[in-house]
Amino acid sequence: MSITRRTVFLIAAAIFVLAFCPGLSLAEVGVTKDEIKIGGILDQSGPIAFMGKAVSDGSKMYFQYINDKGGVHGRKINYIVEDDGYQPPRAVQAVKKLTSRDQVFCIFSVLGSAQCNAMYPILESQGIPLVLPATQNQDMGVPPRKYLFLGDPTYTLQGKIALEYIVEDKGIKSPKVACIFQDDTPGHDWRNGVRIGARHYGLDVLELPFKRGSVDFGSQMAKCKDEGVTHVLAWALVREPGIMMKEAQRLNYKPTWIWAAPSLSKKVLELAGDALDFNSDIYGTSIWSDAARDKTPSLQLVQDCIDKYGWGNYDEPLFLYGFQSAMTLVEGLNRAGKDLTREGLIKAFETFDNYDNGILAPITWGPNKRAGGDSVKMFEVKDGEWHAMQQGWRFTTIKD
Amino acid sequence: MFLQIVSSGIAIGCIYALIALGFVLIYKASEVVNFAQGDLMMIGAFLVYSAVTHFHVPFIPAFLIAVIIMAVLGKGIDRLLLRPLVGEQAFALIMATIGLGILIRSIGGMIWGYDTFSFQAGITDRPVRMGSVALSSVHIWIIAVTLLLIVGLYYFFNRTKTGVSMEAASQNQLAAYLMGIGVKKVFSNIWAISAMVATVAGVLLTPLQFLNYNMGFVGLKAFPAAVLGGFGSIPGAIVGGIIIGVSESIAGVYLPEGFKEIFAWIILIGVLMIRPEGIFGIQERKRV
Repeated sequence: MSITRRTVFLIAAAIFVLAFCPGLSLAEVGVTKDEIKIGGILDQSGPIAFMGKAVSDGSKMYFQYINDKGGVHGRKINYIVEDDGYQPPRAVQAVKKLTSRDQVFCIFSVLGSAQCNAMYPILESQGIPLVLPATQNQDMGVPPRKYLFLGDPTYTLQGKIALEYIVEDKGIKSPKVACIFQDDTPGHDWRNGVRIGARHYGLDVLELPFKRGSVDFGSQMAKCKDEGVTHVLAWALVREPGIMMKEAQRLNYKPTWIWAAPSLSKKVLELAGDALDFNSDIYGTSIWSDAARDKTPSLQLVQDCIDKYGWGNYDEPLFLYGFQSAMTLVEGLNRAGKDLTREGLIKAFETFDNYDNGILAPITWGPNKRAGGDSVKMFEVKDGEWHAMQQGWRFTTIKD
Repeated sequence: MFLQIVSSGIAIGCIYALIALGFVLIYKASEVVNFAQGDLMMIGAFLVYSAVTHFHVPFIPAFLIAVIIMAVLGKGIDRLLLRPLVGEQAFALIMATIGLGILIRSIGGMIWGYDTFSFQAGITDRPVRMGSVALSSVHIWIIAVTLLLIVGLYYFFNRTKTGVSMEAASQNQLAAYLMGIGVKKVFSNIWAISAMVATVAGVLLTPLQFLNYNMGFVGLKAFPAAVLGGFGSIPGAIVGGIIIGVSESIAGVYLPEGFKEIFAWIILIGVLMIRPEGIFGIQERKRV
């Protein structure tokens, strides 16, 4: 008798709690009535601190804007950035700190795919989403992993589109193609894309890898010239393109250049200097809009926020990148609804169908699709600056 | 094609040679291997960059200012770092210069940041036709300036009193000292000269590889060049540098991928096995 009464009492208490404190009973880790805790891990003191800072600053600015507007479903975003000095072991420590001590809702914006791969098992075991890693490596999204959402178009896609652009748009049916790439994961991704494209069109590709940090490209350029290469498709960072294009100039060699997204910066053209006068047949596969000329509402919003808050740098693409990452996350949080859970966020992201935040290439995720970016914008160099060649986004028809 | 590869190899070889020259000058005089030579080159080039870009000084005066500052810096390093270590084991001196290199690199990074830069040196990068080959004007500049510098240094060491006294000090410190040559001053001047040579190397390297706080690592290629030429021989350093530059360049085109990066070291190991005293090295017994 007494046991039954106690059971009844407990059930009644449970119903009471469920009925009157919904926030409490359904609360997900890192989510309270008026706050969502988000953790980011980006280099703030190491070799690419300038990149990490620009990205996290951009995100901070958008979160500040959203919080000033009242937050997401009434919850302010508390964005905690950890510094890993661009070292995967420190990134793992940071993720442990964020998940166990800070108890964040999700991990957002991690700079470096090695870092993401290192921390993923920890996040997967606890069901914590890792949203929008700041990388374009293919393995972040292919094969799909439940808790990992890649927004950027991959280097493999970029490589494919670079080749497709030459054959389809330029109408050059049998170009002599060389693929120059840094001999590591992102470079290989690009090469794989070029290979897929070459197989599709039945072309041969001269593959010329280089070691990270190389400063001498004399032999690569000499080989390209000697083999009569007409199109050089290259994955490099900021210093190498200038050296290569100058070297080509010295050899009196004028190929068409197509660069992967990391080289599409002002600095690259600045370093190339008079090599641009010699040969301005330079293109690139961009993952974001032409911020100097495209005037999307989102880009206008960045400018307005900079004016309003008095900091930030519109001319820094990585700042814009961080800003749009935060926009995509907030869109997901919005779609996940008022009763925010991690599984709910995942479901919400899976509804993204060609979601265009106005800065990055549109994102499509699905139940079995985690590499969100399927398109790029072709850029060209005009008057010493990068210009978008098209209004919309360019998809590919080449199958893997 | 082949001639173009060779000419670009000679150009980069000239830069190796100039850095190797810095190694050799200091080693000849004081038997110190200066592992900071490449980093001195970085500082020299960045001084020119700052003068041109930030203070809007025309290139030639900017270059001269940088050379003078570097000479003072060279003397300072000798006075503050090396002189207190006189008489210590070679190991201590090597560690000191390696440490100095790291220090200079870090300070360079702090001052100029970790980005890559370039400056207009008034040298255009146009191909120049010479008979059947198209040579680059930058390569021609590099080769010409290096030749000029070598001739100047040769004249200095063989024809001027200061130069001859330096040569004497490097051959036999004690005898030179007894002959009334200020050996300390000679060392100090040698450091100044090699810092100046480093500046020239840095300025010549900039059009090829740009400015970066870690550009001094190219000094690692100059080391085999110095060994190849016979550590301690000035013509040896030049020939060694050019051999390394050219062979590396050829290896990059005709050998499988990856050989280019290690070719300098293959040569180094080969030389040490076959002729450890180098091409121009003489079997030195006087120091034993």
